[in-house]
Amino acid sequence: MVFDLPALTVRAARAGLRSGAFTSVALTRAFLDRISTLNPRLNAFLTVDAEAALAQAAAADARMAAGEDTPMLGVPIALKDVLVTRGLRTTAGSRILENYVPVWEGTAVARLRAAGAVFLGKTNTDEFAMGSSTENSGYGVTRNPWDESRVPGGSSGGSAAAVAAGLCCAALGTDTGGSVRQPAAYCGVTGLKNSYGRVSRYGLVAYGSSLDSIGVLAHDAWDAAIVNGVIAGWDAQDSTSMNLDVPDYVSATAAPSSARPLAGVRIGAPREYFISGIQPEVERGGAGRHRPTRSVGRDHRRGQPAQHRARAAGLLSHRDG
Amino acid sequence: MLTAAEVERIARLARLDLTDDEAKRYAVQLSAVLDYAAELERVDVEGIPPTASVLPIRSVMRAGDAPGAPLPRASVLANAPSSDGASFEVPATLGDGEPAD
Repeated sequence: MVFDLPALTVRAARAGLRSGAFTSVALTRAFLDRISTLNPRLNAFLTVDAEAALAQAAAADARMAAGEDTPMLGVPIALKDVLVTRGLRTTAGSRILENYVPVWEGTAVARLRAAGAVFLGKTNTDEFAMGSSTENSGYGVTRNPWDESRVPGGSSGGSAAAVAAGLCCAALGTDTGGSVRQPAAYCGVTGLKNSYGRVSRYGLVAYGSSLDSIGVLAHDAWDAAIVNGVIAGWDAQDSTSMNLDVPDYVSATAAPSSARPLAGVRIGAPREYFISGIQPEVERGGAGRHRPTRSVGRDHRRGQPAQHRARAAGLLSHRDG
Repeated sequence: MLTAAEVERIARLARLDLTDDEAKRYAVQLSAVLDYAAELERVDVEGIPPTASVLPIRSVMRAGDAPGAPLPRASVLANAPSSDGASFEVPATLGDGEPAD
């Protein structure tokens, strides 16, 4: 079986598993081989436990043989190394935790494990998620698979690079001040930053407890919806998780109904984002074209007058945890 | 700007042994953090209620907070750098050598 791993969505993996085109063990082995080949260059993964992953894959194959057909069953994924995983080293990108093998497990991870996802390993991050480039890890930089001379963004840079390079079908990341969204943009994948409280933080090594949220790095919004449907929801272990119904993200993520799904959509960006020092190609290439404060109605002209304080407020409030 | 003596005192409280170069470098970095605080102190927040959390949460008694099965002692001690098999072993923090602060 030859896999096109960089293009393998969660949906495609499930379709292949369901039809019997391949087993989870075969798929997991293919990902492990690709990780062996590419990770020495990319350093997206800090820890890979091939034996455990193959055992999880075999268990998933057995569940499928017994007739189970659930959205993540047998799908190989990666986990940012700030998520506590039972029996799998969890470093948070720090040498301080070099030898830490948790004896317990966080809620989002436990839910994915129960759903039959296969954990290939743990991905690199800025130390304790404090960074925006994955250069500040105790275990070296992660490289952007599109151009290895560039950073993947961060702090979930290992997860973003792993998805972009086809080293997993999807990955979990975490976002306190952009750490899912920004590396997703740098690596050309889809990043879903959940609203605070949507996913339990139990078992997430804290950065800023009033802002941390667990999110998804995926090939597309549809896949992100599938993973989020598993991890979202109230948890007694996190008093700040929201006790709200979890919507059906997958059916809400409709396929585009036309070739130009954004036709007529107006996108706003606060004028305060267009600061001096912005790179000209960035301004020309995207942001500049969406400068609505120049061209649209009164309601869009208000901007965010305190924006210039955001950096100070963000940096200080991150450390309230 | 923090003085070298202030940085050394903070380092002592954190049990960090800094070189002179590190103390100089961290003086700049720590001062930048304080500058951010100073910047926010200039914001007029008169009449704005404090926001402790973005969520409508309040303290409640946890009706279901009953003890569950505890971890086995061996698991609890599994990651301890030093253990006598029953307890964690850590360096003494009180007594001789304790900084005056």
